[in-house]
Amino acid sequence: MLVGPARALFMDEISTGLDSSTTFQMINSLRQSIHILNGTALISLLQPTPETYDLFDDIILLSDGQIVYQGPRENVLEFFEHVGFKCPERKGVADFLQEVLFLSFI
Amino acid sequence: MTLTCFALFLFNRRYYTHLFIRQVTSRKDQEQYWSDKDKPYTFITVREFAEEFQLFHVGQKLGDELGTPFDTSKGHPAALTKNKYGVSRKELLKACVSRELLLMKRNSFVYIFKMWQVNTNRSKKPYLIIHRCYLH
Repeated sequence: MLVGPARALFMDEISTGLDSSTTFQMINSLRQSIHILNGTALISLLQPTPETYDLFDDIILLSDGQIVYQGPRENVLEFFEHVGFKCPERKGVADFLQEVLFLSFI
Repeated sequence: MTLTCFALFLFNRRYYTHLFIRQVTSRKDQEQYWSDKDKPYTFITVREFAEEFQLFHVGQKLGDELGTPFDTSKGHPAALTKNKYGVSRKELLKACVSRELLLMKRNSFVYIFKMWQVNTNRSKKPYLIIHRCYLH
């Protein structure tokens, strides 16, 4: 439950113990309210499904205490191709990033 | 007993899923996504990724954005305070004095009684007026 006129939301492990469909619905409603209210939400997720991943505008990739990527979601694959890694078709982008960076979350 | 063990097992499995995932994804997984087969593959560390990101156009844009200091004249005047304390030194002194006065007023009986005691004892036995009192 969200109470108050908060413009910035910081969320950690909001999908723990939930199924992927509920997570998707939650992120979707958050996305809509954030877009309408012109706010900011910073959400860390464990293993998002491709559908959930596609709801985000920006991605911050952290690994070993370093920021590997911070910017629009559309440019993530471009960046990894620039470094030399290509995401195969029909592969979830989140899983791809996870395996290339051997990190555990996004 | 068996049921609690089973429940604990389930709970642990759910709780440690992300740790399990970390074990599954390893350095070896990186190689399969190497796109340029002509160039030999070398393992790319996180540090190298981070450095590469600084050179990438998204990273450069971000760096430029963060590199330019915020023009404070454009911001709201009340957004940042320039004083160490919210009230001036004079106000602080006034508040402290009024607090002391209030405490003295609250203990006025003790003060008046002690004054009276000092005054009455002064003429008789000067060595008796050694008091230890803790007022507040």
